[in-house]
Amino acid sequence: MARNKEALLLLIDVSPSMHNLLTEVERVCSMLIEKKLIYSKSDEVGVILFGTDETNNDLTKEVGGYEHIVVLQQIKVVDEDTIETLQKLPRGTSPGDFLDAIVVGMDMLIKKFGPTNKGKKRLCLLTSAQYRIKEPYEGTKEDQIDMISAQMNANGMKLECIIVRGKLTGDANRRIMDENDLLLNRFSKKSCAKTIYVESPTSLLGAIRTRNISPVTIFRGDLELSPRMKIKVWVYKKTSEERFPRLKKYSDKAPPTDRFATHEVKVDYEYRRVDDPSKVVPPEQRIKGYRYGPQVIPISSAEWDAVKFKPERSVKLLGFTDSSNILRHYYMRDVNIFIAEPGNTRAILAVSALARAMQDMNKVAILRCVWRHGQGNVVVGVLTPNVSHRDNIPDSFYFNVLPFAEDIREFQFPSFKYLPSSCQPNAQQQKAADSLVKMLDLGSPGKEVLQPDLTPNPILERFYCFLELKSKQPDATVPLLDNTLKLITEPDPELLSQNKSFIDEFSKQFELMENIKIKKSSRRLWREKPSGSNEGEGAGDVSDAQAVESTKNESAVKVDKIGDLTPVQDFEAMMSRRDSTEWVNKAIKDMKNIIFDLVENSYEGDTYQKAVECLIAFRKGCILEQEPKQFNDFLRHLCKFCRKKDLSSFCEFLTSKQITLITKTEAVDSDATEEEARSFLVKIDHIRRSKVVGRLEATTSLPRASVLLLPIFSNSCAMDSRPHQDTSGSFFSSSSDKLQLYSYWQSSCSWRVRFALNLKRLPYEYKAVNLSKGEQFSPEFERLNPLHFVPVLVDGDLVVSDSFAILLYLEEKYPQNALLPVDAKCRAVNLQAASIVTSSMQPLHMLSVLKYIEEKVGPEERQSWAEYHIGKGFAALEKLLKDFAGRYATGDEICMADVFLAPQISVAVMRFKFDMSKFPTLCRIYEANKVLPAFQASLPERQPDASID
Amino acid sequence: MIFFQERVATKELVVYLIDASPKMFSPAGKLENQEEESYFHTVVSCISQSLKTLIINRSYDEVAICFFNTREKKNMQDLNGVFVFNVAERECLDKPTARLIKEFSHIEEQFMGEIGSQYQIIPGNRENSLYNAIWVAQGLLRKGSAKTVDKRILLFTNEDDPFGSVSGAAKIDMTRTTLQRAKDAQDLGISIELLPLNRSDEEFNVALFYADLLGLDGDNLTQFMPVAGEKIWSLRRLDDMKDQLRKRMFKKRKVRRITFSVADSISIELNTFALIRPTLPGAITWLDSITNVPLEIQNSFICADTGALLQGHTKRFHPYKNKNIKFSVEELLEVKRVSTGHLRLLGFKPLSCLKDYYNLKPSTFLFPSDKEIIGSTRIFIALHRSMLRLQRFAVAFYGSSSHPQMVALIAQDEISNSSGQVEPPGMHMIYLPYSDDIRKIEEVHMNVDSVAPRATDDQIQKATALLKRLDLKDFSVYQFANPSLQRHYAVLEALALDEDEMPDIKDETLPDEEGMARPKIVNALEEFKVSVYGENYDEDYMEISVSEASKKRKDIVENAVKECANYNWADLADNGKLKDLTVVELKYYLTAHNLPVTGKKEALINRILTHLGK
Repeated sequence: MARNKEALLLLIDVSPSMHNLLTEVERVCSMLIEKKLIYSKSDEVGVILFGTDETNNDLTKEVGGYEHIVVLQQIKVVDEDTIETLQKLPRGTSPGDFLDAIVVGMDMLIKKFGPTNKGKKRLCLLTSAQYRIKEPYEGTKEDQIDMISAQMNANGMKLECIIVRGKLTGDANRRIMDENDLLLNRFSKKSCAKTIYVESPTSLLGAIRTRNISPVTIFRGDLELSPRMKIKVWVYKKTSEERFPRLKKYSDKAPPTDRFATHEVKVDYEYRRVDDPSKVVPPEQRIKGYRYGPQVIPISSAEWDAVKFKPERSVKLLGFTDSSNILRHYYMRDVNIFIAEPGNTRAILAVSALARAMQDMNKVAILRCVWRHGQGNVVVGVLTPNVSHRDNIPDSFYFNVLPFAEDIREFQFPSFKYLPSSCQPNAQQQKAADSLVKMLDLGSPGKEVLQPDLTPNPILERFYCFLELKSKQPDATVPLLDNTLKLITEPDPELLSQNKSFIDEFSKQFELMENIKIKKSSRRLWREKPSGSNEGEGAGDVSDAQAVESTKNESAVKVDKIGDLTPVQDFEAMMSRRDSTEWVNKAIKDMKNIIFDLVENSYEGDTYQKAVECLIAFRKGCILEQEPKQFNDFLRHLCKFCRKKDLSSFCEFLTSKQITLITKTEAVDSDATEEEARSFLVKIDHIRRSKVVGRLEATTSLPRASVLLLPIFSNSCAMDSRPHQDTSGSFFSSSSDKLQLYSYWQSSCSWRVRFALNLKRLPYEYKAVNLSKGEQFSPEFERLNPLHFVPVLVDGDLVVSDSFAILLYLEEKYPQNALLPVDAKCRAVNLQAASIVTSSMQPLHMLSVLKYIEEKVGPEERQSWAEYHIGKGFAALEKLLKDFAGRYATGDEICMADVFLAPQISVAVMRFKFDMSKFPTLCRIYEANKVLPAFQASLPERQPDASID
Repeated sequence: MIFFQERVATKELVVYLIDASPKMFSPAGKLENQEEESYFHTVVSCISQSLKTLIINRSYDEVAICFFNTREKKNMQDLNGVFVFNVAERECLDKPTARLIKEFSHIEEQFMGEIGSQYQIIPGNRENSLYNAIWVAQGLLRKGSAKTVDKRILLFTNEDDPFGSVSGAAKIDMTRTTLQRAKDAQDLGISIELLPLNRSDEEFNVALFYADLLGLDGDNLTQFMPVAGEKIWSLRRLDDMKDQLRKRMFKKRKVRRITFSVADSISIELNTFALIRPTLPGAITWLDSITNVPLEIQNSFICADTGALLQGHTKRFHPYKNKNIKFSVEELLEVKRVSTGHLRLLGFKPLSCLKDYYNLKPSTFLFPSDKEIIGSTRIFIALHRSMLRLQRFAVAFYGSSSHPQMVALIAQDEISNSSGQVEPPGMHMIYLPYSDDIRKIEEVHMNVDSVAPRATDDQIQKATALLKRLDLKDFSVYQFANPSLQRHYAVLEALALDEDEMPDIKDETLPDEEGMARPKIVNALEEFKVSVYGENYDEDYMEISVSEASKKRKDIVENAVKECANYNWADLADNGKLKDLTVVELKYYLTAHNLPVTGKKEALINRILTHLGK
């Protein structure tokens, strides 16, 4: 067996006391094999079960005895069968005898390998050790253990005992367990054995070393206390992060028939001049440039070698200091361990004396280390004592690297004691916190949970599980984190329920409030998305550092995240990064999120402009990168989303900016034709103001528009009787059932509201109130409006009367097809026009007023009174709108002023035969309005309660 | 030609506003060599020092240096008594260059001649140099939006009452306009920070004028005085000035905001800060060695099987059981997503459970914020106090999407000294290893059947005596500069300025040999040595180490020479037969002729051929 290979015998206790843990045992053993399959394919593994019902092993055949021990698998090179075998362990019913199992295992190892000392031979015993082991035929159990130990030492075997107790079952016998513990511990004294006690299934998963890495020294030589006093030491890594496996990129270009295809991807680097990207510079013509301020200084490697810092390889003591001078958070890196040179008794004694003195005096040593010859840097670190508690392990030191002055950012923070009293806990709150800290205890002596030494890495566990799963089912989805591993990522539910009263008290004492002023971003916080700040989340070790710092690190200057501030620039920078294709994907992904956030979080469209800028940049980027699908899918999704979320105003905005799908002419891979791209714009149009569509219909009578528009207008006549067929109604489905309009067909005030509802494409239920029959005085209606005026709008539980108020409400609640422009000036004109109609015209010629005048003054006064006030109002309106009007009252888009004006003119002309010739602007506006389907559908004669008197 | 980098995103704009009035040239203290040092000198040397740090750490920041109370004037607004210092061909507000630092650090030599010192605010004179100075500084800071850039004015003066010499209406007027000027600047997003210098006879009285200028009202002044670390300090010693400037160097910047879920219903808001991160020598920019123009690296991905150029490949694979198991990038991300929260509390443990070897990378600092979740700070402080009092740390799971990890949260109490805060109050997040990250080195060399030697009480006692002798009383991690980094930048500086002489950097990390040679220490060492090593150790030691190794080496050489003689090397070489020999045989020749024996067979053959002169 080669030196690096390992032969491992798993001795698994399957007796009843283990049953509740066997699932975890199966898991951890499978994991062990999976990792061997990846990292050490030539290792050999055998499996022995004890406590089984059956008996099947060589020794029982040869010498008898050794009952209830089954060799599940002979020692052989690892393969996938082993995993299968280990995943279905039988549950035995006999008490297991671990000593017998160890003997069977040793016998197998000796038979297989002989007394060779090459390679590693390891026995791994998994047991609860709750059953008394058999008395030996001669001598004591202790003698037997000594004999076995001697044998193991002679054959170079190691023993690892993992004693799983978990929650003790009722019939557990403390005395037997103590005896067994003593016996097992005897192994550690007499042989290369160690014993690990495991309290929980989670720790069991972490207890077995699943991957063997041969330790390599990083330094062998003198620890110089002074030039005259040196100690021979070896330095190893004590911790080193086992990283997520580096997966290779997969290429699917090879034909499926090619059985020898590697599917690997090679990376080719080319160096091009920044000022002239067409020039490729050969590698030998490159020279390294180092930044100093804005300058980049070229230095060749040879020059650099001549001038760089070249310390001598050495480990020197600077002195000792109080351990309180070195705060725990100064530790910078993974940890090293200093052991005295093996076999060098004097060195071991020197280390031991120093370590013990340091521990007694609470001191630590400060060292300066240069590990290797030619290494260009020095580390200063702290040596802390590691006094051994086992007789056969010598004392040693741990070594942690400390920061240099340059590595420390001295940020100042407010003292807690000077913070305002609203931040200070009172005595009771402090008490609640005290008991929480005391009670949520994970570290009671002997029962410490989540000890790093016994805690498995949940991510790696999950990855290897997934790998195994995928090897069987290539389409498998990522397995969920099971409850055992959840105990690492989430608090233990049992611990929480035991301490529920303390947690509740804590919750009661403290009050948390969301700061509503900045709700937007806090929503993001609750949603647990990474904050969109520029200090982004990076991958790897010092990602934090990269983000914050200053550094001249290439990657810190390069954009690796799209921030909120300059998304377009960030996006472009990221798309143009060439060091990995990942950036393009990330840029696209981030950009999508940014645009979504901008649209979703906008307040009255305040972020639309920015969102559109992003979208334009995104579109451009996707064309450049030939990723049309990314953009097209996103745009479709975005529009759909906007319709659902009442954000159709954004779609409108998009159309106005002429943003559409990427077509085939722009990017070959596109799935959208020119026609589709054009119609996409129109499709967005569906939710644009109906007047635009109406205009289209009026002028060019596009079939598409008319099909779309017809249902709503036919509905408007008999809204209450028929269910909606409105194709666009689904956009506003939230409101479609709710709106009710109390209206009278002849009322001009109701008319405005009908007109506006149609413009906004809001379906509503028509509730007729017959004014001529005095229905407005009915008690039912009086409850809605004590003024006895129509219209009244009922939206859910909200009742709004007065047409002006209704229109303003609609505008706010249903912002689609806005009637009030964003521009303040234009808005003011609209409101002014509306107000002229509602306060200076209509009230003065309403039916009740005219009736009153007729009665008090005379019938002839009725007409002249009305004419006077109407003329006065129109004169004012003509003057007001003359300079603003376009096609409609205040420009080319229909607005609030039109809504008020058109019915008013209609009433004046129809009812009072008013001569409009003096008001050309108003006439023109009226004509434009008259052809709108939305207006026509609001005409009095087309209302369900219209009657020809 | 040396290539100057284009401007990249600027992070911070700073104007150093230095009072150059005659008072600043009065002696402030004595230097080590007993020479008098003026306030002005102190300020100049502090700023040069800080610029050097800046150029290393934040070379994209831009600075301007501006003197006021000068005789000559040089500024955009052409105001009296203000002189903006810059170097040829660079702008007034610019990234620090090697030349700027060099010229600025030698400014005192020409200062009196070229710029001159003159206190301007005097009765009868309507000039207000402080007002002018702030105005000029504000003008310098005009570029860049305050949203994306931090703009700061650092004001250095030893005059606590700038309008002390004038009185009456003139004083009131000057005070009012100056304060208004400062307020305008602050409204534009410029922060004004004061570095006051105490005069030997009196303490700098912030309340006289500057409290108003900085916008500190009475309450703030007293209540937030220690916090005013943010804005004000009284500098007692010259060293404090350097300390303070160093602390001011980096604008506090959070890494990210996270939620800390204490229990199901309680999630508080925390900001994370990177207080300690390794500073590495700057990244390399590849240049074209002919033109010194930067190069851009373009990498293309090529299918190893077909040679086809690949684009947008999102699949990864891992070989397993003789198969290639494929994963999509999304799947791999999903595997890493083991936790939904940002930081979840799991429980608490006594500090003694946190072993020295539970460490993987630099810690992260946590400080509470009430910005979005009101009440966070109160909970944090309560837990912080409890943890300190009960000597416990929290175990939590930090579920960042890229690298989720189990962490320890240690409460750190505030530590302050005369120059201000040394350790801020808060918690440090220590990244904990998992079981597979910890190696059981202790067991590797375990002695199976013998007991490991242990030091005797006498030996421990001698060690204790040594520890006491070699005690570094005031050790602080702040005291060592990284020699390799210092060297790196010193070389760059010299090259940037075209200096021939390479600077010599003092390695502060070397042991104090002089101190070590003190008789008491030598004695303690000797006693310890004798107690653990015995009397005649040195001789034995030398003998063992020298003799064993050298003997072995000698044997090998002798053997090689003997074996080597068995071959006719020249013949073998001529006939191209060298390649028929084994590596072992080839090495005989190399060893015998004292040549390196490393490398592949071909390299060995080549080496022999070269040596034979073929």
